[in-house]
Amino acid sequence: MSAIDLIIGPVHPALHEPERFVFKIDGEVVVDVEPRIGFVHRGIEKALSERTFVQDIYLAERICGICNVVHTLTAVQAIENAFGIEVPRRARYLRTIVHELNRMHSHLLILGVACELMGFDTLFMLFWRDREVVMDLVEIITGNRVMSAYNIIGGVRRNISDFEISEIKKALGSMAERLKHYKKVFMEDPTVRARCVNVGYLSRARTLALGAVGPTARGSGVEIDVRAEEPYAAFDEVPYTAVVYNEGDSWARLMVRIDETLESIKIIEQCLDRMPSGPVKVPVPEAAPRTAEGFSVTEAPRGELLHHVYAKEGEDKPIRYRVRTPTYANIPAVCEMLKGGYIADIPVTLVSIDPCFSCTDRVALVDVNSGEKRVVDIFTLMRRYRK
Amino acid sequence: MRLPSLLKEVWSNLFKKPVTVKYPFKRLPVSPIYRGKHEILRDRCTGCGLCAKICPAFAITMETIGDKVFPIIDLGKCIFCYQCEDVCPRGAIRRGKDFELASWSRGDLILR
Repeated sequence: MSAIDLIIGPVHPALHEPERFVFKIDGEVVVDVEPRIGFVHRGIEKALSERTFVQDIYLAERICGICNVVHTLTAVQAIENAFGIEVPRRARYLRTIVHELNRMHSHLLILGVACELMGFDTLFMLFWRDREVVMDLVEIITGNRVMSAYNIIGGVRRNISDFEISEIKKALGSMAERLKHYKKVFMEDPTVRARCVNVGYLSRARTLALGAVGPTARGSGVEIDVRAEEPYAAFDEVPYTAVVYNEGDSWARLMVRIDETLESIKIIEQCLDRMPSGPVKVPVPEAAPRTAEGFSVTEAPRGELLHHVYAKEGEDKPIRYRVRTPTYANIPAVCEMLKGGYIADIPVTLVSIDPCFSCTDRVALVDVNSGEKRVVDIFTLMRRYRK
Repeated sequence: MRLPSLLKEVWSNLFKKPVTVKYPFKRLPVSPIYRGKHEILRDRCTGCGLCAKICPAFAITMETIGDKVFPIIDLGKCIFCYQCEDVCPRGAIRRGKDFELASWSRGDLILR
């Protein structure tokens, strides 16, 4: 059998970002993986240091559209840390609520996409129907379905009324029931089990060695969650324990996401009950009041997210801004998962780390020896390998 | 073989009304605080230019109309963050609910 390079990427419309993978395959088995990242380098870090702190929040929001709230939250926390600003308690609770709603919609999105890729379109539709409920809640609180623009330096944009609180509680109550039903489906359904169990296995030791973060690590039994370890926003008063599965396969990573969505509902309900009254924002200076570094780590839906900002006294722009996103940390882990698996399992394994890039849509099969090239789209591939 | 547990839900959905709406004929209501097309209240504006200074997308320019200076918003550049509404000392920029902003020419997107 001659060695064949299977090239996936870089341009795909289904997921969110371009990404190229070269798979060395022997028959149907993946032997080696070469990732090639950097197709969507937008120079955001430099652009962040060219704009004022207020403008930076909106640029940071656009690093990732799906997890936009966590990017603004981390950015404002880092800037507040540099400025030395104390945020009102109520604002911290409101931030937590919107942050968790954002996590819910992100997890439901990827669970839906995972179901679609494993050929289970019914569950995909049901997940996305329930995701609409979360999107509507975000619109009620912040004024827009996706781009929330809610967190600002020194607090949040607007307060939440009692009527809105009752709306959220009503919607989340029925949501929890449906999610428990889907969890049962995920545990029992033959389609899901056949496509996910023992697919893309990564042991706990390898996960630790490769430095995976977020649900990818928690699916392999590594108990890391910034919300539990280093509480930010309101997590110091709303206790949280990390959801951990020990199986280490794609199924475990998807189950972590379902359980985290259920946990998010609990967190939001606790936040709504315990929320203190008071102001939601404090006035902040336009320019940095001191020369300092700001630092913030949060748990994004995909894992640990870090923003690091340097501010100089009297300047309204940061000198240097650094962002470290979770998918970057998960790429070595996903390459390890894919090795030894079948070509048909590539989409499910890739989607199980909830990548922030699009990679499962077009496949070019290249025979290295003859130079022959065939291009197949994802639907042909799915049809071929669904059986 | 055991029947998949999702089959019951699939069956019940056959007799339910669709969740989606036929968009151009029926529009879903937007939230009361929805961030749509801006309303510029000329009588309140003092022409201070704070909105043009803060705009993260550089979508607002100040233009002299008659003997006063007013903000001009380019909706093609606007990211609808409404920082301009927050920063305005006189409340001259208001949130509108219009979200159907597609247009045939770029000139139509400039809001005077």
